[in-house]
Amino acid sequence: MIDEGLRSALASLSPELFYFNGVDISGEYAIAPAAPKQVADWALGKADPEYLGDIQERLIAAEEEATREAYIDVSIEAQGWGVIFAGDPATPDTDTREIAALKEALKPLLARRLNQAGEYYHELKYFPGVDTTNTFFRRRQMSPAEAPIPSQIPYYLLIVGSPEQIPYNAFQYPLDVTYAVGRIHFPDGKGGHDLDAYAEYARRVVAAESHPRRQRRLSFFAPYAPGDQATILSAGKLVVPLVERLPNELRKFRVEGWTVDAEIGRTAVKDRLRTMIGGEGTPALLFTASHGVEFPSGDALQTGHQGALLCADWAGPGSGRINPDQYFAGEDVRADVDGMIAFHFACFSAGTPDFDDYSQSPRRIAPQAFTAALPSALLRRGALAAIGHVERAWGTSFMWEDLNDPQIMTFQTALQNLMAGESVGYAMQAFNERYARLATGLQGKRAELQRASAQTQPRLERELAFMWTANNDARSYVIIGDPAVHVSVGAPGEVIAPAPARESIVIAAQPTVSSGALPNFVDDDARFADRPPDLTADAQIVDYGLLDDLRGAKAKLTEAIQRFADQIGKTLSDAIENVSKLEVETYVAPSGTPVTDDPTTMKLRAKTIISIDGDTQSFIPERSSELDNRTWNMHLAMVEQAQSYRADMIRAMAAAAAELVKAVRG
Amino acid sequence: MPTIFRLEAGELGMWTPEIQPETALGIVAFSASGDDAEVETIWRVDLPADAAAADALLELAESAQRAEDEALMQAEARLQALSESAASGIASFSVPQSDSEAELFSLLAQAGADESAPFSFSAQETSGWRAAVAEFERFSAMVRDLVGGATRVETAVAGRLIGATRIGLTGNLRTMLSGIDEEVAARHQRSVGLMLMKRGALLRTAGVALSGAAGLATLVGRPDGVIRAVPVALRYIRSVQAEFTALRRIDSDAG
Repeated sequence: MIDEGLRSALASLSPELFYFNGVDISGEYAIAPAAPKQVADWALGKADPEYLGDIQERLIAAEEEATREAYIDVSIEAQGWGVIFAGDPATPDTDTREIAALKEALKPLLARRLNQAGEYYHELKYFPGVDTTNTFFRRRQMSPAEAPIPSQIPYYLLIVGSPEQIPYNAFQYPLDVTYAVGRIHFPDGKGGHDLDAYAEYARRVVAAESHPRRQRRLSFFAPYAPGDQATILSAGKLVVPLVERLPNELRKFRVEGWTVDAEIGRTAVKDRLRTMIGGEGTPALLFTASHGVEFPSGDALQTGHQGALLCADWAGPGSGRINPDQYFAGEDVRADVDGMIAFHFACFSAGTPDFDDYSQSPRRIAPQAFTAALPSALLRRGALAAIGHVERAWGTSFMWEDLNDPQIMTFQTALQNLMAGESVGYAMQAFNERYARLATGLQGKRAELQRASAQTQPRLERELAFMWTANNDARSYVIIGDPAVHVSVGAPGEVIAPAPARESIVIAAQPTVSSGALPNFVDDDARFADRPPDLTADAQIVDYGLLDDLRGAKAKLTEAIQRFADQIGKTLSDAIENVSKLEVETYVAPSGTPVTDDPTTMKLRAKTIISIDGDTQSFIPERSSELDNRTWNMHLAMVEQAQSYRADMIRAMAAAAAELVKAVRG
Repeated sequence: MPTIFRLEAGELGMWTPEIQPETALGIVAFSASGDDAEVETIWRVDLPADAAAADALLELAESAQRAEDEALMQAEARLQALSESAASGIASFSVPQSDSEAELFSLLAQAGADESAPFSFSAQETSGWRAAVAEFERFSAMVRDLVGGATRVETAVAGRLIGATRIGLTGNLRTMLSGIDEEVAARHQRSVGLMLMKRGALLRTAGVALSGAAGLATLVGRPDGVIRAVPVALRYIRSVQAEFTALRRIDSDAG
């Protein structure tokens, strides 16, 4: 189809230049061909602003292309599976001893994936210190912006190694936008790998995929501490809405047989979490929302405890140094959790980079990047995967600027997909797409800011700062574990293990409501009756008599504000009606005589009436007396005070009235 | 019966409220030419006989009021910053807060308690907010009295009333002095000034609490969030003012 003219023209193109489509009305190129460095300068914002918009459009287009919209078939068989080891650039085609040992340890898993993926099974290498995302893809004859090609780079990719070897920022995050990526790293504490842990993980994943391990139960764990905005929001604006919405959504999409329960608030203590991780209450899916504990860089406890889940045992800010009794760390996993998948919304719950991702100037937060101990501990005891956050987790994950409604669809979609049996990697696509959207928006916002007027700049800077935080937050959700694993559950209703006799918050059962003796809100045993789950019933809201105190307080508050508003309004109205004149009178009693209302002793010595038009009438005391001058001076001082006070008072009342109108109108 | 405020350190800064069955000094309101409102509040300043000590007490009260005004401005600025932060939605999950902010967020969470939701707080856990509501009720009642009726300021020296000023609803002043002693009159005028400063401060406090509540309403997460946040904002203002008072005490102790 290519004639000689075109072939010749193709051959004449310089491989060193970027060529852009577009000719403007003058007949010239809209953007002339440009060298790579020039284009890079543009992308870094150093360039001629005239061309910057076009380059950013290219980046936006590339990011949009890189975002997968939907897979029809996301099975390993269709999309492939690959494992990425840290190679030695000196011997790129040879497995190092480390890789050989890791492969041996992971043999059961690798064999199973090979069996599933067939020709789409790949063992890949990333060369630390040498590779970039570009070079990694180039070796497979692919562009990093290209959609997955199972025969070249498969959709499912398991990174084996530490983030020091295969980095988060430069590799895992960009890869994760389009691919389903997970990581496993089991250090031996001496700089090497704990091969037994890799072997155990591989064995347990294969076992769980062969035989279901868990009942269909999703459990939430969301402590909060008094005075702690972060956990109050995560409990109230993330977990509660998820718990409330999921049952209906599961019914809508015919995802059957799941029980949803939650431990929220001050009862979400460490001992409670212990029952959910290896205890009788261990679910198939565990979602926690809490603080992740943070340590100074290089602290003795940092690698073992950073990202540990701070439980309701913690009294809140200002309560002193946190101690291990208040948080759940890797070393607290002391029982098997076969088949469980965990999702931890908490700072550092998946890992820690070496430098702060949110600081404008480099700030080291760890001697080297590492994966969190808790998810690794879970995997060592049979968990299939643990989703968490590298670096700090922010409220931007589920709240947006001044929107009142929590923005939890990303979390909801991920959980629904997991419960519907999708792979962890595919379920997390919702988060990858969110990151891609934010990254796109951030590019646009930067461009907008560069063109901003002085008037709009402050608002745009604020928006940019928010989006930048949200962007960095969004990209940092990672999977610890094989991204191709699914929840290990039986068919709906199938009993896998004896159902634990534990309290469940009623989502959809039919509680008995009576107007008489209502259960005590504080007594959990009465409040949360153990009833069989029934997702087909409509949710009921139960009324509790002791909350009358709360209602009473609200009613009193409303009345107080209303009365306050009425009085302010009336007084302001009177003041405005009577502002036409200001009267100041001064009475004097003879010296030594107490001040009384006896008109025989109190004499009017001076009076001033000031009209609104400034006309002033003064009743001057008797003349030619030093005493009278002094009286007059005292009187003048009071006049001045009255004038100043009236203006201030009307101003303050008007301001209060304006705010009251807003408050009363809601 | 009118509420009496005495000039001495109390819950209203340098003023302490008390209720007495009758006014001890026997003053009743003059029949006024156009300003017939009942006296709702009496502000009483008892000065010592020693002139220097009397001036020092007044200076202390004026200084304390100025500090309170400054603290109110700080509270307003901090509320504004918190409102902007709330509007932006940026809250890190590993950031500590000061005591005043910590209490604020705790009370806001309590304010958002839904009496009909099974995941809401227990009655015990909303006690802080309910106490803030009670505090707001007292505050709003006092401000209502201040603006709803006439006010009288009385200055006594060594127990003897030397000046009284009636301030009407619209700001008309009627002053009664014992003798024409400029120094005494000046001190009474300072008493009146103190009372006017306090009254203005209370009105401004109401305005700041209301505007602060509007900014924090999103953190309450309910349609009536503004109303629920009002007592929280007032509590916060009081807390910030207490911080300033404590700092001033430390500074003065340090000399």
